[in-house]
Amino acid sequence: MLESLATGAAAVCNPLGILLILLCTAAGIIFGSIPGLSAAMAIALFLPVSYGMTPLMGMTMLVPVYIGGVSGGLLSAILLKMPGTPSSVATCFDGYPLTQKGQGIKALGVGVFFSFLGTLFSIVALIAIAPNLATLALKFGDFEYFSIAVFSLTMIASLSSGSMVKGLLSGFLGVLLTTVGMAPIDAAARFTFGSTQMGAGLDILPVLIGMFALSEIMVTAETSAKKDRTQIVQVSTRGVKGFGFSVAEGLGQWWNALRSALIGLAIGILPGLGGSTSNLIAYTVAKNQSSYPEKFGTGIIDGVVAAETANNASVGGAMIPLLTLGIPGDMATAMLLGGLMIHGLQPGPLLFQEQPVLMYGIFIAMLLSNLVMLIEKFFGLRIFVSLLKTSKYILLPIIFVLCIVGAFGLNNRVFDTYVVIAFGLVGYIFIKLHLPVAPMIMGFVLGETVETYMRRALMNSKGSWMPFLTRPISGAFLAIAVFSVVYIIVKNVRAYRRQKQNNAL
Amino acid sequence: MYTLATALIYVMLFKPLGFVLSSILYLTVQMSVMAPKEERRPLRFLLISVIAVAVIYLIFHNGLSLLLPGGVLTGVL
Repeated sequence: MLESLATGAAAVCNPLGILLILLCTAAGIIFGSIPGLSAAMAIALFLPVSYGMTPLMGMTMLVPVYIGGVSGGLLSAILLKMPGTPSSVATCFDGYPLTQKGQGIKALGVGVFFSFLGTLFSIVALIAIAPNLATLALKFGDFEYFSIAVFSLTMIASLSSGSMVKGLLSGFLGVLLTTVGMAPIDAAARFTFGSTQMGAGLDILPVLIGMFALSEIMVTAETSAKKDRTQIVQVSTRGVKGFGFSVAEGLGQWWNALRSALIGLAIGILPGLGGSTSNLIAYTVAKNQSSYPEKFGTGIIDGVVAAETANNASVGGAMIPLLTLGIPGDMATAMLLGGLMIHGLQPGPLLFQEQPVLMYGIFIAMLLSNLVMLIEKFFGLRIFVSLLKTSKYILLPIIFVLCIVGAFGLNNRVFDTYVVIAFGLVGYIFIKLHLPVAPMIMGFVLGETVETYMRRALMNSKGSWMPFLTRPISGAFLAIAVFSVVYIIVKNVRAYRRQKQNNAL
Repeated sequence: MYTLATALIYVMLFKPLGFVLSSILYLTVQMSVMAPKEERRPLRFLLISVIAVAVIYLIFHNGLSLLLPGGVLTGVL
């Protein structure tokens, strides 16, 4: 295998290849950091540019965009409370509070470094055990997908810091929103109010932009006109060495990072679920397993580590089914599939045998791009932060225009931009009513999965519910889901009783 | 609430006026609304808006072939 890697490296490390990796990782990072533009969209936009190149060079161009794009989301998530891509939603939760505490550089450094580790982990898995993992992924059928989605939904309960009722409300609203449009399988029109536009349902990107970006702009606008001093993003770079966090802090996160990387890898491998799901799940698991769950959301690096390691691990994870089975792991890899097919290549088991140089070249490109991302971000951090010294009232409107470009460019229809406005209002109301946003996003991301796979599974089993429990993997996930719900209820009841006791004393 | 109204009007004008014009209009108005009284310089904002929109347009329309509504200026750009 080493000689194959060497051949691949030789093929990639020519001047054009190196240049492509350097430029396209940077482009990916920039696209990823702007809310409204995502990694998938970046790849889609760069596809035509790759037509004229050889397949390997084409992929050397697109893969760095993917890697840069997924990790770029953390920049705006941490500094502006706007996730650059759906993969960085959970990074906002602890990343932005860290910025508010003046520790923005630490959050950025942690995010970048653990993004690097996450991708590295998954690329190694990709190179070493891709075929085995692919066979395992094939064991996951409709029943298993449903159970995983149900399990993930139960974690909404733990994302509701504070009021459980509000959390559940938010979560169910998220799931409800996914029912807008044509139902999966039987295409019954739901909540469409007679409009064809609504028939397609609500896309995650406009909803995300509205809920996070527009609502944040609205909240800032309320106070920015009143304050005497202009508001800028406060990040101090003084006295900060290296990545902004100490070795001790980094080492303390090793279990968090490993666990999140595994979650990211596993979810990335499953076709259909990718970085957007894994970062939320990793964050929730980290919160549940931590000895100080109440600190999550106030600004601790654990949250950033979990989210960023997971979403980057999903990159390699999503490449596994793509390269071994020809099934894309998520939206961005679906674009990469397109890229490969345009060059007349059909990804799958045969491709490894017919085009080993290409395959191993892609692996090397991924490794190099990961490293380049780390380096570019390390040096770019300070530059990026100083760019943000622009007054918020100039910066935010420009970002919003970019968001609208992204929302519009998604499907080339103005409806999506209206969705942004509508959810800007929803997000604003959420903030004012202190409703947690996390459960809603979780419910929204998972709702379609839950319903589609439940229906398909039931069609498969002719209406019987038994296979959900009797199939080992599915049953296991459902059992964990039930267990975690019971556990959370017990924990809350105990805390409530303890509090009553304390009040009585 | 002005922000929401400005954004809504921007989106409503997006297709009819086209990306360039509506964005310039939106940016100028939004910046003026958000800026504190002392720093409110509409002409400066207009200049910034034009430059920003030009850059965005060049990158996305010419560079990456992303379709943006032409609106009033179709045929000119």
